[in-house]
Amino acid sequence: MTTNPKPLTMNPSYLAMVRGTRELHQLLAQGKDDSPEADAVRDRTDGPWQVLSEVERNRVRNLSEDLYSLTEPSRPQRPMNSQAQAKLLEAFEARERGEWDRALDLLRRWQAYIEPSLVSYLRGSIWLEAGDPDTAAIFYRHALELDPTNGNYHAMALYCLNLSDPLAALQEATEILKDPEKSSAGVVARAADITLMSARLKSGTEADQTFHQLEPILANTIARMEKGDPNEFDRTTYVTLLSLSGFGYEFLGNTQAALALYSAALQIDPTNDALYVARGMLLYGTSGRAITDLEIAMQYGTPLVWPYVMLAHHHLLAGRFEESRKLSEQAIRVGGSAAVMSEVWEWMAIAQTHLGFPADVIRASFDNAIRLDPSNERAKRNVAAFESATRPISWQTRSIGAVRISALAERRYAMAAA
Amino acid sequence: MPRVFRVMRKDADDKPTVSPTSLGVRSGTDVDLDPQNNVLVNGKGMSVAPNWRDINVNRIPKRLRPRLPGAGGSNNTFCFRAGLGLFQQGPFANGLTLEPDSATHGNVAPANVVPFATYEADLAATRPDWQEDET
Repeated sequence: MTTNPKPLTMNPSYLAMVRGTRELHQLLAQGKDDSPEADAVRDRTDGPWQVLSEVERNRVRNLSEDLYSLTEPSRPQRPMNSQAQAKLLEAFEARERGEWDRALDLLRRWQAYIEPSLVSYLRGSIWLEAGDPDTAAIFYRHALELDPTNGNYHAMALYCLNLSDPLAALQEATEILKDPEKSSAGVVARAADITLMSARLKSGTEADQTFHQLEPILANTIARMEKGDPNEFDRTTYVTLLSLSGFGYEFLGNTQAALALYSAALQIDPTNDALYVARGMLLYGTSGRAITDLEIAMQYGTPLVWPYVMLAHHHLLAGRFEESRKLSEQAIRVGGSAAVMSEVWEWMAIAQTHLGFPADVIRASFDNAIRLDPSNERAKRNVAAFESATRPISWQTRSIGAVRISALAERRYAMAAA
Repeated sequence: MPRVFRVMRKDADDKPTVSPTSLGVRSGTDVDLDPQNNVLVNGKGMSVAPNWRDINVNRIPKRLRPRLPGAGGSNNTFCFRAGLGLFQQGPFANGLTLEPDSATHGNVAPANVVPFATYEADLAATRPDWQEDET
């Protein structure tokens, strides 16, 4: 049985220690070993250091040692041999299992046999997966400094920068997009992603303008990839570019263009749950294909809440109350905004009523709906209808179109905030 | 005297420099004072460890990296040792006690409420007891 590797548990003292150690190394790199700033960092890290476990202390010591590699001249690389290759493989496997310290130890021990830029790149990937994008960003940036032509290094450095310092990432993305031909398709895709995500929190006009500027860049980069060497074709980047274009068109209200791009992306990556969700949401209420797409996304175990929400609504309207109730339960488990969860609890209450659940269970569901969103007047009317003696109850539920429009809007802001 | 370690600067005679950030303390930071400028007896004092390897890695002199990976302290500082006894609560030197707050850290604190200057003098008086030990 395989399990997903768990990120490191990082308590406030550990985080303060790591942050201080990174800051100290910036000062050491400037020759400020004896400066008041360096002493201030040492003072600031004394308290956190005292409460760290021995495992955490070793992790910080080793991180500090690895940070020296950012500024010290690389030692001459030794020729790769079978033992070093086996150890490198062990490091990969340790990373896959989430044994972050062991993976980093192996890299440190055998780094003399590995290209220095690759060592930094691998360190970045381990720290990123271990849940420390700030540290990862430093190592990815170093990998890029050592090998500026490596688009993958640049894309990952930008990705991590966006996690640790979104404003700086947006500035770098803007620079990249001024002259996109200079960068690899992967870097352009990452820069466009960062720009588009930030645009969605702006006013409608500004956001539209941003996508209008991005549209030719994305189209040209897609074309560049299609004309490029088939042996070097990067499917992931291609799908990302198609998806971003699709999302941009969706944002501008050009549903047909968005659907065409999502479909094209699905042809390349037919197990991409997010693309099925995107297409299914756009088609909801206009094509039976929507239901299939949303169901496929669920089958692929999508972490997104929308398929559960929309299918719960779909089955409720069709009178398939048990299916609706189960999907509502799944949606609640996945979680979403208070407004969305309020409506899902309301559907749950309606389905429970039709399924003959006890009145107190149904009331509890309505209570949850109103507690989560006190402005949900429809839920209040529905609970009033439930409490009245009149049967059959005339429920109020939102139309398919209304659910689609609000879900698309919610998804847009949820993605931008993520 | 309990065996303790501390990273400090040193003078030409290879003994620690007496100063608030070396062999000494900073009032308000390392110790608390009452309105009469007396040092409070509250466990606070000059920070020490039972082994130099237990000290904050950012303080250990960089030259010790081969022995302790990641050491990030200034090379103008040195690991000093004083005493040979167990790292446990008890008398440290005249007017001073060792107050461990964990297995890897403690403070050399005043034994009684004394003027800050007296406490500083008591710490300075231990100067001959310290010797460089980075083994």
